[in-house]
Amino acid sequence: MNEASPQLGFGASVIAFIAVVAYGVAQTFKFSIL
Amino acid sequence: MIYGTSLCISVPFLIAILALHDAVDSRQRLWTCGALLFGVMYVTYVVLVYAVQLSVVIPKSMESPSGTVLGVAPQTLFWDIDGLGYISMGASTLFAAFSLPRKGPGIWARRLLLSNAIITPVIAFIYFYPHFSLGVLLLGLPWLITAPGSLLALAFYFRNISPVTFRNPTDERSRP
Repeated sequence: MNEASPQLGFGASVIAFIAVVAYGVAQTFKFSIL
Repeated sequence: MIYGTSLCISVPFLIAILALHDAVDSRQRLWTCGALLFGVMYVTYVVLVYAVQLSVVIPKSMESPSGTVLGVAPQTLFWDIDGLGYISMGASTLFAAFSLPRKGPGIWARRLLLSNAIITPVIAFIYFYPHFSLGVLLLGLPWLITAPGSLLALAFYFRNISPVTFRNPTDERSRP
């Protein structure tokens, strides 16, 4: 295993997690307006 | 905002799967290869959809606000491509879940990735059911738990594994 893999995976997972949460908030906001 | 955030999910998700492929035991790489294949399909589909929406459809709709064939609305071309993207993401999480051990640091990542894969048929139903409604869309609410949950669990998995844990002794010998 490359030594960078855990850090790369951690960083990418955290960014994707933040993006999913932002997506969920945006969707909820959109449907609360409708 | 929705398209931008969706775009920001896809590439980091694929990088996380790539890192998982490198981190797991070599016997589990069949599963991570499957996860990578479906991950690439997912990214290809959604980047196509959101890049077109952000660069063409939204700027054009500001000039003349009329529905176009390129818009994302139920039962349109890009709606279906978007759906195929999220189905591919679900398949990718299924393969990724099987690559993780049943015990140890990967157990929660495995469970949550599996739960995200289990919800995928519901996502497929929402996208391809011929009579779309808000009620049908609400069926997909569990995805808002399983998707971030699986990514957070994957982040904790990467944090808990040590690069030394899986190092092959032959790697040490091959070093200059």
